[in-house]
Amino acid sequence: MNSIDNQLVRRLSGFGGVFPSDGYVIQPYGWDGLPEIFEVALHEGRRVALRGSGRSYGDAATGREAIVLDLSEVDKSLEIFEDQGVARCGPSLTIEELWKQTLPRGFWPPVVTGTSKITLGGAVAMNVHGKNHAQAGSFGDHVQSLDWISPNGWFRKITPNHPEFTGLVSSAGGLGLATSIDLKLKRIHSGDVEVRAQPTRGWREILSELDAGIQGSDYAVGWLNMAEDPGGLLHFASYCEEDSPATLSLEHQSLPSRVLGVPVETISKLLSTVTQTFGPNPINWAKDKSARFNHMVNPGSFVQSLVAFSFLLDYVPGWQRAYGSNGFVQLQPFVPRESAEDVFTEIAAIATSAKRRPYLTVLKRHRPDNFLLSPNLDGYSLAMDIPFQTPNDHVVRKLCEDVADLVIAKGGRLYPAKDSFLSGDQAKTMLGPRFDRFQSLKSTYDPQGLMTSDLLERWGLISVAG
Amino acid sequence: MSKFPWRKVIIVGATSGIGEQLVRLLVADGAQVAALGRRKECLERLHAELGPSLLPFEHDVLESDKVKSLFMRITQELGGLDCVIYSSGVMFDGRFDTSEDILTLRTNFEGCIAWMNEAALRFRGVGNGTLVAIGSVAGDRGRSGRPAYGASKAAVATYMESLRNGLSKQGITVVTIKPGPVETEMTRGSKFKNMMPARTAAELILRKSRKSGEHYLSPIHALVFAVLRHIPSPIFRRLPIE
Repeated sequence: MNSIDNQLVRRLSGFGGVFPSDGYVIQPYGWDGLPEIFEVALHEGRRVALRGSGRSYGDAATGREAIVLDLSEVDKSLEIFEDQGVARCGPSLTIEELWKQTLPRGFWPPVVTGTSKITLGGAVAMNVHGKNHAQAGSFGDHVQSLDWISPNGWFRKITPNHPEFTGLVSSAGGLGLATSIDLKLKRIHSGDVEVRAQPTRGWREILSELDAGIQGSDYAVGWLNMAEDPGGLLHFASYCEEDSPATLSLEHQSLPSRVLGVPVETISKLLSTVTQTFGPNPINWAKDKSARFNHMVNPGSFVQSLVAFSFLLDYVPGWQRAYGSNGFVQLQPFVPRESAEDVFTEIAAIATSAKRRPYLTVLKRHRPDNFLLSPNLDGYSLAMDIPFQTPNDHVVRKLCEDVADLVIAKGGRLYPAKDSFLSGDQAKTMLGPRFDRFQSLKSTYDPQGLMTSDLLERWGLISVAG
Repeated sequence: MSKFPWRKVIIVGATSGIGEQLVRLLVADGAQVAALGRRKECLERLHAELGPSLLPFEHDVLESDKVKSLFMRITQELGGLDCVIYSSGVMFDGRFDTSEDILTLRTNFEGCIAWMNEAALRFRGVGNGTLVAIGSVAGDRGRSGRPAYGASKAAVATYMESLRNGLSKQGITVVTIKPGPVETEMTRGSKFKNMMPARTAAELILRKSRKSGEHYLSPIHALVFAVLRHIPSPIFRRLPIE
């Protein structure tokens, strides 16, 4: 490849479908081709952005007028070292492709997101977490080594012992990319988890019961209704310990093709009709009541397959279309434990006064780490889906900006994989000394400031220090 | 609230006449506009007046080999592209002067092809975008007055129709505007009567460019030229239309 051409331009957006931007999309034929692409970018005066499955909700995998490397198919290699419980993965491999190979051998990815469609390269770049973050840490905590390529031409093996490890993991594509990932897997004996559901109401009760339930469970998550009197259901799940080879089969893990008798392909259309006509209240009401009914009928715990428990978002293909053609944002503030009750109360009030009550709100418990752009702290996060009612919904924008101001003022953080609105000043305040440390790494790994994304540009993280 | 849907626009032939008015309207509407023209002083004047929303680029449409790189430079500086409007044009009296006629064809048609081709390549990949070419009612029939001008505008109309037939199903809006006489430098000193002010023409062009198709600027023109297009040639040549 000697140059780029108009024919390569594609309009890309994040999974939320808002704020699309156009970039020159290139699918590298292999890692050997990357230095040449970096050369072309330098020659053409373009930056380079990285994109995996495009499952980041905001603009982390788009690059306005940049060369966008589509890495979704470059390397899906997988080697499993059963004796060590380690998988050597190409970064284009998705979590789904990984678990389908590891589960029959008695291993499960140690950290999985709510969808199994993300690539492992994306999981490293965003340092993703799952419903077991408080118990097991984030994705980067389970990476044993990375083969890293940076735009200055370096190929090197990085392990957690290297001081820059915590910067490269979570670097959101700003410092290069992993070309191979050694991941420590979780040994399991059954493909099921035992789930305990607990209804709860009021922030104080919700947070204290989540904290109490985390002790002695492997996963914990809250499905909440962000009303003035918030409530919902907490789910605590633990791996089933008894040997159960049959549950490790792919057949046992397959998701149902119908939910309540309705084909899954039809559900997003039905949801779309309801949400476009009546807004979030009927959905939230139905969710709340059905969860409580289920709990009433079955007050104890129940057994669910790992896939059914882990990948709620994969149940309904194209579920995001239920929010309408203008797209949606997923706002996920991380708030320190001590101020969470007050901040969540205020976030609910902001959403109510903006008349934009979130459709689906997911509560998780987190623990702090040293990964530079990670939002992780000793506290909680709320992931809230908020649809755009117009192509550039200023009400939602204002809501997100107000929430970001509030959260940052209380020492909280926003998640790069979800954010669409944070300004450079807000990002700098939020990241504190991590902002300068990232820029310092940038001057080492990407001295010409080649790596970008719309998110990194917005956050002011594309230039090098000094 | 914006009146027009385009936020990032290239206007080729922006230093005077309809092109200049298009620039003014779009900048006033909040768009970022790359204004292209030969006359540096006109571009500088517009830039000084309209501010940073206008990006001036000196360009001679006869240099079609430079369009590809300039197009990519402009889209990078604009940070995207929603619409390209080709408004460059020259018109000479029909004096059977070959150099003038070739200049007419190259300015009115060759430049249009060069810019529309680049935009079409980009918009096809993106699945969105608007292409607008300023044709003329003069392209509807072979008038006796200015053969090369009429032929160049007919060529523009046919070329744009081809683009429309190929690209509109891919989400791209392809528009040919056929103005009648408009008060511009090009028509100054001509015998045209009841000319439309350039500002009015520009406003109408932007309003009509939301929809793919060939558009006249007034319903009367649409009606009159629908009839004229169907008059047999032996009769047409007897009409007092130059």
